[in-house]
Amino acid sequence: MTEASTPLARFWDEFRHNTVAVIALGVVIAISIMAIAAPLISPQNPYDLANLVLMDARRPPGFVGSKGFTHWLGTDAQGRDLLSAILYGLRISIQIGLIAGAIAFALGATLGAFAAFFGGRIEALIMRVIDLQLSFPAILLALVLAALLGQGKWPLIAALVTAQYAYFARTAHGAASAERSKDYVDAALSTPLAARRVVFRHILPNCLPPLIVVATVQVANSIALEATLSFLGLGLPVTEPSLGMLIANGFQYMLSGRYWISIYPGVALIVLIVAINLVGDQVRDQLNPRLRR
Amino acid sequence: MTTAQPAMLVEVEAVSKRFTPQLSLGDRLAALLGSPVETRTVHAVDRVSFGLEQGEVLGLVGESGCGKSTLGRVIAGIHPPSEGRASIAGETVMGDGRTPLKRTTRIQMVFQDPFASLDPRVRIGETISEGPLAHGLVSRTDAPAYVARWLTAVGLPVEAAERFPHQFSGGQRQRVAIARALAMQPDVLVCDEPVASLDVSIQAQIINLFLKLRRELGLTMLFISHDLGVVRHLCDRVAIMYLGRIVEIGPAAEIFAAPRHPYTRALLDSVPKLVTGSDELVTFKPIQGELPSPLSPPPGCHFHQRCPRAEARCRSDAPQLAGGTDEGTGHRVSCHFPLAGEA
Amino acid sequence: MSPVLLDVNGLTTRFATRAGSLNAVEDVSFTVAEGEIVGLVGESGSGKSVTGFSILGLIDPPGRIVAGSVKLNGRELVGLSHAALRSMRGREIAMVFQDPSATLNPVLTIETQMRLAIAAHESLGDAAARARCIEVLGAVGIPDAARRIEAYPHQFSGGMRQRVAIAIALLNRPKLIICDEPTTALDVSIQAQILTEMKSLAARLGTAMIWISHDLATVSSVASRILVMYAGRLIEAGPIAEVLRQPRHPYTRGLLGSLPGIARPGQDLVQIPGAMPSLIDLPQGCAFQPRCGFADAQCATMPALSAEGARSFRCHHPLAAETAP
Repeated sequence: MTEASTPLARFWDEFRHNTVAVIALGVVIAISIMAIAAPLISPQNPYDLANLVLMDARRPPGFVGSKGFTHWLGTDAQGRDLLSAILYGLRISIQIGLIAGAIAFALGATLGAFAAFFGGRIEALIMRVIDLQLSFPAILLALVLAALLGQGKWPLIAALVTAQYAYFARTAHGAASAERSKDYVDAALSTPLAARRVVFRHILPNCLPPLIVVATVQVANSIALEATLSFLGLGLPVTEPSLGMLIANGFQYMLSGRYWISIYPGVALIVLIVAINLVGDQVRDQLNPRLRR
Repeated sequence: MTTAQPAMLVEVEAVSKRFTPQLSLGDRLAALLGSPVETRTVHAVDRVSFGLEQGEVLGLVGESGCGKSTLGRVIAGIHPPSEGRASIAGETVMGDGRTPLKRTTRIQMVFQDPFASLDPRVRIGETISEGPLAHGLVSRTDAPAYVARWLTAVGLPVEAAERFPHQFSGGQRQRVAIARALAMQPDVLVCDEPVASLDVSIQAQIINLFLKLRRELGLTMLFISHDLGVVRHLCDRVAIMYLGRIVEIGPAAEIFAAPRHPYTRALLDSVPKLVTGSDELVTFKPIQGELPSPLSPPPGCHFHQRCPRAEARCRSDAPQLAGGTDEGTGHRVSCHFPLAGEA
Repeated sequence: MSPVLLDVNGLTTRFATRAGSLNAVEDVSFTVAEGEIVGLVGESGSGKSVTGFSILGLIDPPGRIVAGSVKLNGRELVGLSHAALRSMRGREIAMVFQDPSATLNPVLTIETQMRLAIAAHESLGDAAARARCIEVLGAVGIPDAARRIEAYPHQFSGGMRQRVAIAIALLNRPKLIICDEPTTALDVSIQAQILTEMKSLAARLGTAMIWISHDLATVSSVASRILVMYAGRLIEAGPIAEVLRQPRHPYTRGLLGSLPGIARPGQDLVQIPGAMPSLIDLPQGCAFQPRCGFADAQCATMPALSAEGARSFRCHHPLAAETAP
């Protein structure tokens, strides 16, 4: 009987029929585990300057360093083991992507849902501001903010949230407007229940499917955006390089044949973002009733 | 059954409801610059007044688009009226200011489609208990027993509280919706076509449930329906709506036996009846034409374009809802040339 | 008695679902005579609509007609090729659905749609085709048809759209029209207009009709014979006035008792307890047995359809012929 299966079980049942998405999900999970376990599995702590040997700088992949272990992906200009730097960089990138995504989700969804619930002038005001903001490229907004707020993790997250909450707000507004006209919301109004409860207990949970789709895409986007900002030198301090900064640091050595410093962090970034997007595509196909067979 | 002016529990006083779609920014700019912008205002309810006595069931009948659902939602406090006021025992249903505007819990509502009126992501138990909890009718510890009591009252097993709406059939969901409304311990229940989307045999079960609840709880009900058979069976009084106005109101038996408004007559003649004699000839006397658009209701009596008795006066002069020959029963009709009221 | 037009015999249609085989229509047999209007009545899930679709060959996978035959004028329709079915549809059997907006194409004018329907079956000159369209539109009660024919569906009201759908069904002068709840979505006053027109049209053109509906009163005002379905099976059939006056199957009587028009106002209705069983998981024997007050051990076997004159019923304990409901 269908009663026994939970919505999640049914979701997975359908999900696993798409082999590409399952592999992509595996990649995302594997990268996430490696990133979380970076301090345990990486051969070197790349943030500990005392550990770095300048003599080992810019060595090609496979070089056995002075500390006695093999640098499988080579080393960068400061003599960091690139594999370790990538794992630590992923850790920071994923962390910032998730935190920024979660805050943008909460903020945007709440704004959009309340705008749809109240309607009238409140809705017009909120949605016009959001439309205005969406007409700027997100990167431009993030650049200006990152420049204004200075370097560091939290200023960076603030810049990412500002650049991204509008997407959540617009999606939540669209979904919530549709839910708003349903009888169960009218039933809550005729009880009457407080606006807060109607929005958070009834409207928002029913808007989750499209928001989850946006969330997967936006986490990938915020990782990419973070890398872009770091690449441009507006991200984290040089002592804690994220993927973007690793790529930037290696850029000047590209033409001198030391390709690995930029290429390997770039590959890691691309694999992660493509994998998240593939998972997101499948999630979108499954949650969008119009694409259902 | 008193003929003197009884104290009404619910008073609906000259309630109007218009819907004006929000103009787009461009249209508003155009209007500002002096170009004629069409505002498509729908006059859903037009100065309707009536009362509900304690313990009575009033049927509100009309075809789609006549404004009966909108009127029900105004009385249940979902939409604020554009003009006029609905009150229960002197207390206005709608407060002012923030959404939700409704203040009283003494009027509750049951909706037509139980698939839409229950939140699919909330368990039945929470659906029933959240209102009473929010308004302090029950404490959190007593809530499960309270929910069980109302589930039993509407004929559902107590275990239903743990399940989700999709695990129930249409008839069972409608029982849940009724339990949710009743758990607020209302004086008045507004029911908007509560049996229209159900199968015949399930419909009979829900009608019997309403009859039982009425006997046991002494509920006052506003029962909105397009089904004259159901209304005749359940209601003490009937109000007939046409294009936003009440055209006739009075005791159910009287209206069904001797309608005085030509529209009521035509509506009754349109209902197919069960034929049980093999030689019975089925003939309808259908109303000519169709319902005019509520965007631009005709002047005068709204029904004059379709009315066989219409005269020049009907085209310019809107009739008032007025008592007929026997005012004792409260039978009132809004027509310049009402039917004699022969049986 | 007019000659038999449609002969449905042992029709069985099943749908393969994840939870198992769904027996939508099971061993349904009936005939429709030329010019006869037959009412097919049942609640949702009774299989009445699927029966209509099966006759037209409109069952798509995962559904399949697994057994039985449908003969139109002696010609077998089950198993015909898609092309043969398509040329039969519209010309010999047409269908009218509950929701006319699902039948009409919103971006084509009424004239274009009607002429496409004609062109599918015969080649007619421009003027002749247009004249036929206007004539049929006028016949279904559309005023000023010559002008209205150039309008788009959204310019018509719901009742008028249903009239257009009926006109399209009539275009190729089919012998049989299957009407699937054609007036359910309409207001009573519009329903009364359409019922009156359909009846007189059928009488004038000699078109036979299968009128599928959940509403006994509507069916009783158009049909001369009634078929009652429950959980995929035909459970009672006969001349409509007789069946409604003296139902033999307990379900038919329960349905009549459920109608609020018959009992005295304010009295409890005679309700059928419970709900229709799932078509995937039918009870052993008679499907109505769990809700039936007369059920006993015998009902665990499926009763056969027994005939008595013009009437037939599927019950081990039929109600006596003289008990009135």
